[in-house]
Amino acid sequence: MSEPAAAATELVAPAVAPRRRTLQVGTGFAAAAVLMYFGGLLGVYFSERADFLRANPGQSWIPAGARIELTAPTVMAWTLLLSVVTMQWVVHATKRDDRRHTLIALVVTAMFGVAVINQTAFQYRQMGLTIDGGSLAAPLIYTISASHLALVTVALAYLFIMAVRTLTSPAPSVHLDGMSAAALLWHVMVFLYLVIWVGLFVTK
Amino acid sequence: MTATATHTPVTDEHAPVTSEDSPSAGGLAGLLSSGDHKTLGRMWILASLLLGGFVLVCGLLLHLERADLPGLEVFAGIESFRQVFTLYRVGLIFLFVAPLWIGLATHLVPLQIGARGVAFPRAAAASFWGWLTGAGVLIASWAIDGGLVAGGEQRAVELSLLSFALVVLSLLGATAVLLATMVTQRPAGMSLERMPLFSWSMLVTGAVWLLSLPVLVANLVIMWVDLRGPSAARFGSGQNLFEQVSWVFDQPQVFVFAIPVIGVVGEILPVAFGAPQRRWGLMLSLVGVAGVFSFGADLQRFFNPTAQTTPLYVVSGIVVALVVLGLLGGWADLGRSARRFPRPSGHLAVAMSALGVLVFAAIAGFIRVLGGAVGFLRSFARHNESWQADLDRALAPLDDLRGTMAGAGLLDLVAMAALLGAVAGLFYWSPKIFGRRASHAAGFGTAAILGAGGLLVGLMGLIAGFLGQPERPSTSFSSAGAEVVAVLAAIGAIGVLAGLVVVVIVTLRGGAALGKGASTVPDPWGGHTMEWFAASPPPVDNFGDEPLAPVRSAHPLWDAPAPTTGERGGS
Repeated sequence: MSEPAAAATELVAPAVAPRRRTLQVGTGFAAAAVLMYFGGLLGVYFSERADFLRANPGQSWIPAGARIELTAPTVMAWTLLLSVVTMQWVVHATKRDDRRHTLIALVVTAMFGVAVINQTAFQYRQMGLTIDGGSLAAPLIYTISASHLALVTVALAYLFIMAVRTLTSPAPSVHLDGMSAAALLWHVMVFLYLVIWVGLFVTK
Repeated sequence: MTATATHTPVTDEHAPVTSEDSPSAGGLAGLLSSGDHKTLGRMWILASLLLGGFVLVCGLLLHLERADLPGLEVFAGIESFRQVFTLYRVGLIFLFVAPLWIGLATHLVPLQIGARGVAFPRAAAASFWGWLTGAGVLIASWAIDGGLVAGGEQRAVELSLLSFALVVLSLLGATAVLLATMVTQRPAGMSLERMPLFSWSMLVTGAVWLLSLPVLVANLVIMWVDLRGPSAARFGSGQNLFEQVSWVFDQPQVFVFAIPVIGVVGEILPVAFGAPQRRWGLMLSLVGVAGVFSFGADLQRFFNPTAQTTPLYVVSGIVVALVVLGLLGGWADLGRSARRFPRPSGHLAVAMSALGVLVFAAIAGFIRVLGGAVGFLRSFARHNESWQADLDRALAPLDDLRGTMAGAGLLDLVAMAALLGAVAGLFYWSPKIFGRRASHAAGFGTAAILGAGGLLVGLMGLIAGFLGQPERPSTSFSSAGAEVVAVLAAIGAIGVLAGLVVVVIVTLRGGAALGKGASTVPDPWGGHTMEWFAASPPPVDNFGDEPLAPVRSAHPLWDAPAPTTGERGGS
């Protein structure tokens, strides 16, 4: 350090460590961006649907031949709601340095996530909705649901990385920040699915 | 003894820099793998300046074509013109202005807040390389008949959309890193309201980017999905592509790219006057208000054709103008507490130039929203035909500004203000960035050429708007009656390019000097914020092994030092 700077340091008191929870804060910002991304998608969807229904009274927004069943989306919604509980179980077990419960809760949560991916694939086959330029609904529904599918995958990958870091650590609670961050993203993902479930599938 | 005394500018220009203080070496491999925020900041700055040169050449070609000079036919057809037009718009903001701010902030914000680095160094590096890759692919996709226009090659257009999304996502990644750094890495006492104005302005800007640019990504993804089908339903059709993203380049969103100008000017002026900024809370609030009213993701003309006649749109333009007015008042107030008359310097000249162009941009924005106000008033007076007719007659010139070159003029003014602001920052913080002071002569030259050129380009756009020139011509790209205006705009664009060349030379020379181990005094201007406490250039962890003082105000280096334990005990 140069001389003036070194001289100035003689005047100062010891530094305090920077604030912690860096991963939670960073994930919080990422989650805010994700929420705005879906806000943009849903805003376009609702705007286009309203315009369509205003211009074509009595017609269905969902194109003829396509089936939007409520069963699969509802099962997914419940699956994800259950995963919120197991995700918090993960955080709780990590906080208590309970490696066994952390592992069990992680596996159950991940299974719920994989089940949602599987159900989305099933729903795509069942819907019979094609992007062929004839319908505005098709590209929007696929964009929104596939974006959510991507988010589930990212949340699972994030959870996996944090699981490895936590479970391989001598003291899992040291990685509570990371696990809480993964939980935050997971909860945002579940919240978004509930909005999609109501907006796309329940109200159609 | 006070900290001010400790930080009186010293004259030892060539203080040795030890190997411990030098940034990590390693040549190209070191650059490619670096997570050091200072190295990344320099790479962002240099890459955005170089890409900016390319973008400005595109702008110059557009002006030359509009000028309709005899014997000069730049574009083969209207499709080519529109392709370059959209590339210029996208490039100006996402390959030039925004990454330039990201570069400056990535380098300086950790230093300013007293952090030892950024919160996520690897994410910061990934953001830069992702942006650079996306920028390269984006330009390539345009070159192979892509772009956000009708008539392009479909696969190339898809590539344009994906690369544009990658560019925006990378900028968002870098923004999130900066925000997380500002929230989590501040040392004791560095509360948000004590952050330097540049860091604060980047916090506000970053927050608005983080909340608005994901909506742009959503637009791009919808277009891409629609385009993947056998035929596009609406979103992916050629004539709709740029329309869906045009809100980013229009009011009020466009102003968010100029907010950091306030931060740079607000850093330079108090140091030039040798006096702390009065009404600090008000200045911070004004920056925050500018950020809030620059959010434009909800005002998308494509989905809401009346977006530009809504009260929110009108109010946003008025508020931004009032904010600039309030800031000018705040800075004028510095004269009352000034300890010295500012000495002419390169960075001060560029900062004043940036401020001048920003004022013109705010005025232009104000004039443009009056057109929206006409629409609003017309809907308000819809039950009275006589009132409507009177309104139509009285305010027709303002109403007719919508969809004209006035929008392009405003974008140019904002972009030029942002460019000048960033360049002012580059000159001001050159001791930290390059380990040497940038030449004052280069600063004066840049202020004059870049400022005059930028102002000319923007004002000619506005005048062309008043002459009724369409922003996005559909049949002919000549200016039909406004060729002189286009010629003047082209001259302005040449001036901007010339100014940019000077800036690039300063940057390259600075980088070369840094590579040779250049160093200078920590605080050549008598600054008051934490970055001037670090060596020039700062070592890898910014402040070496020495602990930092708890911060007690927004100008910690001008504060009296904390009493030592002995002093406190004796009192």
